[in-house]
Amino acid sequence: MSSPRGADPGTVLPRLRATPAAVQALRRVWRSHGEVLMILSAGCCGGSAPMCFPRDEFRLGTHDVLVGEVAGCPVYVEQRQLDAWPHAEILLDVEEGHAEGFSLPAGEGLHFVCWMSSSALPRREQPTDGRPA
Amino acid sequence: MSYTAPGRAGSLVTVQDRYDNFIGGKWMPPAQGEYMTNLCPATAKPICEVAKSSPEDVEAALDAAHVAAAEWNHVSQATRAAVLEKIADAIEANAEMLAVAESWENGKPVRETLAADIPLAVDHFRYFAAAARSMEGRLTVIDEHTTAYHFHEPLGVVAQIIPFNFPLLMAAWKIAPALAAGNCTVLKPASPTPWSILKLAEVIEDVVPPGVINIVTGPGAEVGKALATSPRIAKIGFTGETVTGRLMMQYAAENLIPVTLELGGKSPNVFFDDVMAADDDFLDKAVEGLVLYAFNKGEVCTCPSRALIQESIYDEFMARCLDRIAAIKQGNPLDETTMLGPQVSAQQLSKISGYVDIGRAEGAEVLIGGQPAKVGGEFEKGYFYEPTVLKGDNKMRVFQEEIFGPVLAVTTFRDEAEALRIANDTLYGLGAGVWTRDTNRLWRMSHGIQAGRVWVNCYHQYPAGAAFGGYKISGVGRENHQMMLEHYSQTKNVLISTDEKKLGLF
Repeated sequence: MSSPRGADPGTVLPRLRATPAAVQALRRVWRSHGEVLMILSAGCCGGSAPMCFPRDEFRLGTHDVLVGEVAGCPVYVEQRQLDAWPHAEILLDVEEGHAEGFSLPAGEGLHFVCWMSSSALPRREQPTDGRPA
Repeated sequence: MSYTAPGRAGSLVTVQDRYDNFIGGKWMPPAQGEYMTNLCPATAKPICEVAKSSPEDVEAALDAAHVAAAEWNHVSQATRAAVLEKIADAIEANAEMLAVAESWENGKPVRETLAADIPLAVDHFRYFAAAARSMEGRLTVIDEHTTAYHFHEPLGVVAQIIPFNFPLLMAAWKIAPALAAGNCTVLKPASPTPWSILKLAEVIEDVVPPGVINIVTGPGAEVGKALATSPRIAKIGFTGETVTGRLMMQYAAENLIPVTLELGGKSPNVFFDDVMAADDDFLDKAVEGLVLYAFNKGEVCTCPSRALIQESIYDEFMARCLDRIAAIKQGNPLDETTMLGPQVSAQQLSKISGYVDIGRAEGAEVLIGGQPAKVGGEFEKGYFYEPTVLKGDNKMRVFQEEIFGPVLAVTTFRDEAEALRIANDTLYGLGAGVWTRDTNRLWRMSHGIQAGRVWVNCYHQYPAGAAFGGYKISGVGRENHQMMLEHYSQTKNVLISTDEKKLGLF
């Protein structure tokens, strides 16, 4: 099995943060499903959402880049997405709603979401709720 | 005129309190006895409950499908075609009812379901009825004593997993070619929109042999996974986003079966200066062509979500477009004059708001809209977002990531070369639009754009017979065309020798 080989040279990795709710949710998921991973999806109905899978469920590819860990859960973004959509910061959070696609839910009636800011262009100050602009 | 909401007195649509799975031609309660609430996005109130199924239910559906396949895999092409025709007739006879159900569950305006979703679904079944009837094998005369015959054979039982944005039409896109090629199917609808497909099952249950179509509702992580990993399926057809698309390929790899993927898009819609050479019907059509980003609330994989407008006409053309956008009527999806309904779910609304905030933070200019829409009364809590236009740069995230809402990112270009460069500066390659009166230019652009579907001087048309599918990360395979029969068939080669003489090797 192949495994992530790290980011291409010159890639600026986004800073990864999580809300307390996301950390709690990941601990709950860990208790019910064992070790999990997250990978950021793209496009269409469930797109731009963090997908959460049991660690051995999703086959990571050579070009999936580890951008950090939250509550022991590694979070990956595909290299092409990092290149096309530079993120200065990814904030993992939970909201009400169905889990996207085949992702594990973040709890009963909850799903994982992420808020991202961009590093491609000048940034404004962060809003007071702590979400990246 | 406004249709009465499903379940209320005088509505065209009856609603039960809860719906079971459609398995083997019967309504089967979920093995675990669990149900989930299904919301109407216009009111944020429940419509009904549907089965929250588990892997046992998937197994029951596969059992039923395999029992049915023993016969259905071998029926004549004429019989398959006749069943598809009957499905089309049944949908047509219930078109208004299904249009209202679809609109109420998904939020799309009923004018769209009446004009597009349902008639296209009907036509799709008719197209594949014709395709099934006219399927032919091929033969090759290898030499005077040797002939290679090629026959199509059904794959068997297939798994089909569809999205929330066109529940009935996507069901038609998946089911019709599968059945036409002689397969049975187990279909999993999207979690936000399981109900209208069950209404479809009610309409067609008497005309489809039991077990040929099976529908199991429930969460993707359990039901979808149990279905897609089953060694008892011969193919996966999936429409959705990229990571689940990868997961489908991974599951398919485990069982060594084929997979068709329709994934996302960030489609460019390119308007050249000659569009404004005359103030005529064509210009009027081009303006509508830009505003089509709001079709189906922007919840379309091919949403023309990036408008590229030639610099020299930008001010005047955009002014006309903004007037048209300002005239969009938003509200009750069951009102025939409504042009924009609610987003499918609270989470979609949240995602859209988040992206528009990102656009603002990146320096995009909000030309119109830019916030959740206030629709009062019964729709106070509905998931409405204003039709929005952001002017900016193609490097911005709102130009690169799929928002799946009524949000248009607009930018300008100087010349054709720049238009093509911006159009192709995306990870996706599903749809594109080109608007010009110059025939040579439309030819060059439509060939230069890396996308599976390039609409020229039109947009958002989905006739059966026009192949649909993605380049780049937008997917693998094609739908909506008789070539799909190949994707849902095995090829049997029978190689016949009429030579009386041995090879002479042994």
